[in-house]
This record gives sequence, C-alpha cells and structure tokens, in this order.
Amino acid sequence: MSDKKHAPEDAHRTAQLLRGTEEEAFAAVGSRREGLTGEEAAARLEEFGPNSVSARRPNAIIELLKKFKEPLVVQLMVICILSYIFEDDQAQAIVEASLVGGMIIVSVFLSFFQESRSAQAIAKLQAMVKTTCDVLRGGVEVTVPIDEVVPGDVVILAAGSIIPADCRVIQAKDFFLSQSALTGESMPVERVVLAKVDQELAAQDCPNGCLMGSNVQSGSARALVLSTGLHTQFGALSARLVERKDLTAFERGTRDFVWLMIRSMLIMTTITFGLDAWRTHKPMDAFLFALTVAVGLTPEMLPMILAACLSKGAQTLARLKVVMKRLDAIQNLGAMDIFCTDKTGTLTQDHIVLQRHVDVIGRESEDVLRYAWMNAYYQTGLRNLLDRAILSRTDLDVERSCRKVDEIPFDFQRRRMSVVVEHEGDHLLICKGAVEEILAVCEKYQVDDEIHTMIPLIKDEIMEEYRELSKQGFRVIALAYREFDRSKEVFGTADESGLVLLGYLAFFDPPKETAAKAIEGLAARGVRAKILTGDNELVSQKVCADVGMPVKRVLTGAQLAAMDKATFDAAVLEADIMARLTPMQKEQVIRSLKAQGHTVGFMGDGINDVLALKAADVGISVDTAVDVAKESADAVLLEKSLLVLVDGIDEGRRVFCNIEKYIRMGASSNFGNMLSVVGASALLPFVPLSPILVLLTNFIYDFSQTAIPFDRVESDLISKPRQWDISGIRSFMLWLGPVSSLFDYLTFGLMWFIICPAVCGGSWSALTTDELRNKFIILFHTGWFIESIVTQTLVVHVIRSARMPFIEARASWQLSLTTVCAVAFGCWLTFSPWAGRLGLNGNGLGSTFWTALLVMTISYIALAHYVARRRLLRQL
Amino acid sequence: MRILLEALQAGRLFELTETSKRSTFEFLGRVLEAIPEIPDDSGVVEAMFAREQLGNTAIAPGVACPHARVEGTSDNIYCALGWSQQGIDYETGDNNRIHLVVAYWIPDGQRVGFLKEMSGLAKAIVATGGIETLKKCETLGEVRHGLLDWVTVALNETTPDARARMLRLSAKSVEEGKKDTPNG
Repeated sequence: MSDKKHAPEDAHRTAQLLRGTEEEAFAAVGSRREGLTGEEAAARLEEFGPNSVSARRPNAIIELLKKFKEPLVVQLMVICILSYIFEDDQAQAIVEASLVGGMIIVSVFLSFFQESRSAQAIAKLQAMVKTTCDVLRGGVEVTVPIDEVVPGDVVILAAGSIIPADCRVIQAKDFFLSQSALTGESMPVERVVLAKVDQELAAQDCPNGCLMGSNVQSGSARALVLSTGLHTQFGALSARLVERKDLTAFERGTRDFVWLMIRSMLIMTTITFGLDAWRTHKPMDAFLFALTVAVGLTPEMLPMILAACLSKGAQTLARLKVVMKRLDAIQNLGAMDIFCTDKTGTLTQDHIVLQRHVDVIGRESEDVLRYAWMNAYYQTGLRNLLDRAILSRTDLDVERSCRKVDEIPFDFQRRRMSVVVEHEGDHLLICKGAVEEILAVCEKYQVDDEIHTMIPLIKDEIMEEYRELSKQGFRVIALAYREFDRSKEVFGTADESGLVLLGYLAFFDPPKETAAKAIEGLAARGVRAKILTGDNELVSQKVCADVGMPVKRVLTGAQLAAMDKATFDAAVLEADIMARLTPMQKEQVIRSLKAQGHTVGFMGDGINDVLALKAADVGISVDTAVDVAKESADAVLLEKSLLVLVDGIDEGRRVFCNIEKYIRMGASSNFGNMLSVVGASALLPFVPLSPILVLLTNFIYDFSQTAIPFDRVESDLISKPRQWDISGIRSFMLWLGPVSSLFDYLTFGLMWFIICPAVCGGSWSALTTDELRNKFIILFHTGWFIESIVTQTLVVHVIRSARMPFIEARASWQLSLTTVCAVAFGCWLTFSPWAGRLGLNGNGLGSTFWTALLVMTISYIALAHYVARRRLLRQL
Repeated sequence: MRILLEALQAGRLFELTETSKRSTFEFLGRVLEAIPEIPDDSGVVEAMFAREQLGNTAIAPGVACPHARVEGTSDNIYCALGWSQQGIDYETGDNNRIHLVVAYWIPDGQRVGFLKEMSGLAKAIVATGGIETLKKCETLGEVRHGLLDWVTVALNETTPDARARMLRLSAKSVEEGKKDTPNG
C-alpha cells in the first residue's frame, strides 16, 4: 500500500461510498455481491498491500536513535559533554569522554540488539496466532488472514468478529458494533442496510458503515470492504488511537526505581562537589569529579538488562507455547497473585457433549433433540461449542421438508437466539438460550403433546429440573418454540414472546485431567484462583469440586450488583466463584482486586471476556479464542492448559528475579562506593579515585553484569509472587551500601597507614617531594581500584540468593565467567602497559596488600551475605 | 382438578383457625399424613417449607398451593384444603392474605399430574372469578359448593390449552449426512 499521507481524502471517499447507493459503492471498488474471485483478490493484495496498520517494520536506525532518548542515557550524554568541555587536560578529556561514550554505546547497542531479537521472535510467534476473517471469494465462503482482506471483498461478520477494514453493510440482522476503540463510545451501536444516506454524515456516524477498529457485539452481517490498511479511518488515526493500558505494575516499579537512583545521584553529587570544592578550593575540578560520581550512580545498563531478561523470558515462554504480545507482561505474570478465569476450557476439557435432552419434567425427549438440532443447523451467527455438540448428536433430513425463513441472532443481553423454519405451511420459531431468559418469554409449557398455561408456581417447579441437572454438573440451556402464520416472513426480538417451553438440553464438559494439578501448582506458588463466569453457580461449584479447588464463598452477578462499593470490594476478594457475571461485572471485579493492591491475571476466550482482559494486569487468551479476545490479551496460550500457565508464572518470576539482581547491585553497591568517595573526599588530601578510574571501575563492573539474564534462579525465590518492592530495594541500599563502604574504609586505612607509607618511605605528611606524594596517590588509587572492582563485582553472588554463595547457591557459568573475567581484567590492568597512563601501579602493592585483599574479600562476602540474607528471607 | 375433587369428596376441606403460615402447614400436613396411603412422619411439613424456599406458592389472589414432593412411586397425588375467612399471612410480600390453601402430597413419579392439576386450577380460578366469589360464602359448606363449581368449570373447559403438532423429521442416510450444513 502506498505510504502517501492522504488520510483526509480516504476519509472523504469512505464517507461518500457509505452515503451513496450500494450500486455506486460496488462500482467504485469494482466488486459484486458474490465477492471477488481468488485471482482478483490476489491482484489487489499486490496492488494495495497487506491490510494492516502496522505492516511496515519500524526503521531500525530510528529505533536505535530512540534509545538515546532514555533518561539514563541522556544523563550520561550530558555528563560526557560537560566533562569534555570543562576538562583542562585534553588527553584526559578524550579518555574520560571515550569511557562514558563507551558505556552509552554498550548500553544502547546491547539493549537495541536484545529488543530487536525479541521483536523478531515475537513477530514470529504472533504469526502463529493468526487473526482470520470469513470472506466471499467467487460466491464461496472462505477463511483468510485479516491482512489478506482487500478492497472489494465481501466479509461475513458474526458476534465476536473484528471488523477487518472500513466496510459498508450490505446485509444485516440485529447487527450491533462496539466502536469504543474508534470513538470512545462504550455503548454498542446498531448498523443496518441503507439504500442511501441523505445526511452529510462522517463515515463513523453512517448507520450503514462498520469501520476497522470496531468489533461485533451481536448479530450477523455481510459487508463490502471499501478500504483497507492505512487507508482506513483507523489506519489514519492509529497513532492517536493506540489504546494505551494504564501503567502496569512493572512499568510503575521501573519508573520508581529510576527516580530513586536519580534522587540519590543528585544528593550524593551535590555533597561530593561541596566537600571537594571546600577542600581543594578548585570548584571546576570538584565539579568534574562530582560528574564522575554521578556516572558511578547511574544504572546505565538497566535498559539493556530489562530488554535482555524479558527477551530471554519471551523466548523461553515461546518454547512452552506461550506467546507474549507485550514483553513487560512477563514480569506481571510472575507478580500475579490472583488468577481469574472463566472455567470453560481452562478447568474443563472444552469438549462439550450433549448428554441429555429432556422435557420439562426431565424425561428424555426426541422432540427436544430434533428442535435443538434444527436451531443449531440453521443458525448462521457465532456457532459455539454447544451448537457443535447438538449437531454432532444427530443429522436430520431437513432439506426436503423445511426452509429457513429468518433468524434472530444471539446477543449477550438476551442470552438466547432463534431461527424460524417453514414446515408444512407454518412458520415455526425455535428459540434456545439461558434458562432464565427463555422462561422469561414463555407463557406455556408442553408435557407429552399437551400445551398448558405457565404460572409462576409451575415455573418454579420446572426450574427444579434445571437445578437438578445443574447440580449434577451439567450446563443446561432451555428450548422453546412458537408457531406463526406463514404470512409473517420477517422476525425480530419482539417475536420471542409467548413461547411454549419444550424442555432442556444438558451438556457436560468434563474437567481436564491436568486441572487439579494446575490448581495445586497455582496454590503452591501463592496464586489464588478465582472463577469469573457467565455460567451458573451450581455448574461452577461442581467443576471446582471435581478439580479439588477449595470454594468458601460463591457469589452471583445479581448479588454483586446489589452491593455498595466497600461490600463489593470485600466480597470479590473473599469469593472463589463469581457466577452469572455480565462482561462489565467481570471487568469491575478485576478492577476492584487491582485497586486492593493485587496483581491480577485474567484468562478468557470469549467476546464477553474482552473488557476483563483489558482491565487485568495480565490478560491471557488462547489460540482458539475469538479474534477480539486474542487482540486484547497480553499473552496467548497456544495450548489451552493451565499447566502451561504455571510454567509461565515460574518463568515470569525468574525474569524478575534476574532484573532484581541488577537493581539490588546497582542500588546497594554503587551507593556504598559513593558513600566511600564522599567520606574520602572529606578525610583525604586527594581524591580517593581519579575520575578516569571511577569510570573504568564502572565500565568493568557493567561488563560483569551482562550475563545476569542468563543466571539461574533459586527455587525458593520463585515460590511466591514477585512484585516491585521499592522499600525493599531502599533497605538493601541502606544496609548493604554501608557494608561495602566499611570495607572501602578498611582499604583506605590499609593503604594510608601501611602499604603506601611502606612503599613510599613514610606517611603522607612525612613525604616532602611531589614525586613521592604522587607515588603515594597512585598506589592508594591502585589499591582501592582493585578492592572496589573485586567487591563490587563479586557481590552479585551474594545478593542472588539467600543461600550460602558459591557453596549452596552457585551462579550460572555465564555469570561466573563474566565476574571472574572482570576481576581478572581489573587486576591485570594495574600491571598492564597502560597502567601508568591510567594512574595505576600494581607492581608496588606487594604481598601484604594481596593477603589483606583476600581476607577482606572473604570477610566482605560473609558480612554481606549475613545482611542480604535477612532482607532476602523477608521476601520469601 | 380430579385430585381436588377427590379431596372434596373425601371431606378434606377444613376451616383454619390459625392465621399463620406455619400453623396452616402443620395442620394440613397432619391431615395429609392421616391419609392411609401416605406414610406417617413422611416429612410433609418440612418438604412444604423446603419448597417454599424456591418461591412462594401463592398461585392467584387469595389462593395458595403448598406442596411436598416426596420420593415414591405411588400412583396418586393427594391434597387437603384449608379455608380461612379472615385470611392467613402467607408472606407473599404484597400484604394480600390467603383464604384458600390447597396442600398437595406428590410422589416423584406424579409430577406431570401435578403440573396439569395446577394449570387446570389456574384456569378455573380465572374462569370463575377467583377468590372473590368464595369470600362471599358464609359457611364451609358454601365454600365446598363453590369449589365444586370450580372443578366443574375446569373439567368442562378444554384442557389442555392445545395439542402440539410436533415436527417429524427422519435422520439422514449416510450419504446425505456427508453434506455440509448451511454455514459450513
């Protein structure tokens, strides 16, 4: 499709084609009522391109440049530029700028690379979740992927369908759309066939238009495709209409952490600058040093670590046949502590069989089966599992003696549907649906071949049969009929009145063998399962009992509707089964649980689940779900099994645990080092580490953490929901930081009082020449440089688990390798040919230093483990 | 209405002296349990109250039909009638008092008979002017005559309302069965 920006012309053309006559519309798009031929469609696909508003992959360079807009990267760039401008020593300025620049490039490129990889992986996975659409090709109904729909196609729409393009309705039956994504209007709007629209209406207001971005709430229709892809109203407006979910728990946590670090950085930088300027009376030098401290406190690898952890998680989940449509939903999976699901297909086999067809007092009735079969056979709307179960039960010879007259499609308000059949001169309306809804429109009932008047007492009696069947775990629907004179040809919902109740159909959906295990698995992981269903409470209770799900309280939609907000909140938290819920009530329940501080997952596959899927922290659907449910979900399971979800929860927690490792390190270790710098600035007559060495330490340390996404996670850390805990991170920072700082001060003491005086021939005050003082400083810097790298790098082994590091809990080989390499490289650098230029001298340290370093490192790890363990255990 | 007729012929119409629902149920329950074909202590009263939980059994202004469905294969349904001139508080929610209480004992196998009886009674109430006619009666004997009029009217009316003409379709042969349904 052309990329030209001609949205106003497209909108005008669509409106014109909706307002004109049908013939004009067909002529304009070169089509006819029986649709295009396959060849014509192929040619048009070539000409107009795929029907997608996001068909083109974003430009890689632009995506890369966008990375430079990240707050942490901007901060580093500002520091890099300022230190280059204000550094007097040109060579030093270049080295420092190169180091900071190197950090920026490593962070930006690694995160770009990881995100590109995961974007590709997700694109591949999403290709497995095809959204399809029924179209007429050469008069024959075929199913095609939505992106292959072309202008001129005639699409066939039913409840649950997504409107695939901008279309004109050419045939409709009680056809209602939700246009909320397009117009924000939450109430469904009816769309009808109109010969012509006389008013000057916009395309979305034309009563015969159905536009991309809408979905079918009820009824059925055929529609002519007028425009596709970017030429649709939705395509033109998609940038403005991208429906952004509220910030998820993960996004809120990341934002809070970044601000915690930025606040810490500003405080520490200001203190360092003040102390250094006061001591040296050189504000410019103090300013440059403060900038390097700022770099030290910047968790510049955070975007990369996030991208890598989430991307790796997405790929692992893909192997488990879970497609993550939004990467950050992985963490929400791990954070989820309440899992709500419709029971169909998750707890049960989703293989419904028609078990019984009975009259109003529970006797087997062939009439009930026969009428139900005709209803299912002739209906053209959303054919559900119940219809399939009825049709598979028998096959009647209707073609010779019956003719379909009309149909009143299903919708979720009426919860029933009807077909009208002509037979032997009469028109027979056969209606099936939810028992309460059918009984509400019945005035008579039939026993044997006698039709009697229905009175409320009899209604109660007849309901008794329904209750008995439901208690046995059957899903029950009622069947009724009414005869009309043959002169009546057109029927509407008003004709569903004065019916004769014929009987009930009882379906059975056996519990899955794996359901009990999955429920047990969820409970073991601290995730509470709740059933949110439109079905009745008796069936739900039976299914829960069969799968061993404990049920303490059952609520119905009617009970919830009568509650005030406080009672509602308490009730939904307590209840295990909420039955007979409307789609809006499902959404209300999810929002209430979220507002009470829970991370809520919702699994659903029907059109009635869409609101809840969008409201949940993690919306989960399945590959066999209706299109609009798949579109609304954050994750799509390619296998409809809760066991897969349990694995997904574990993976989500692993991902978050690894992200947490970086965050704990970044918060506590950097904070400790900078505490040391600030203290040393006040106590020492020189800076404790030159700016270039601060940057170098940070660079090596960053490298060591690139393997965190590949680290293993201890099983006890994933036994409970993992959520962002900023106060926990702050606690880590405030406890572990000083521990790190304590060993820094020990190193300062070692260098100041023992090593440096021994090598330089006296204490600082006793040294009289600049050369000896310079030697003292270099040796001091070298000692702290090595200690800093060793302790800062190895601490990841301490904070990764509450168990004893290296002995009870071992890191992955990748993380072990990078930490060992970082330590070895740091030590080697002090002996390397560049040591002199960097202001390092490893040769002068001597065996006393190395022995002391070994003792201090072991002591540090032991003390850090003791402090970290207490904090980690609190989270278990 | 034959069940009601049989009860009238057997003299199971009584004046109710108490005006509460519970005492009425207990009284009529004892009358039913006194019928030789109904076992003693068969829990008629409890069963009637249990049924009442599903919905109030008042079927028309002034008339209620509490009933006890019990396990059993007996061929007969039995009923007993209570009349209260001042009316009893039947907890209908609309403050209307019930004057005629017809309590039924229904074995499980006789549900169809009960449904038909109820439909017939409902029609008779409409056709005869309902409870207002009976309220004019001054003695229990007059009430009994009024009720016999109900039975007569009901038996003379066409019962049921209509006869169903059900569609008769045969199953397809194997070859025909392979054809697609209309929407694939």
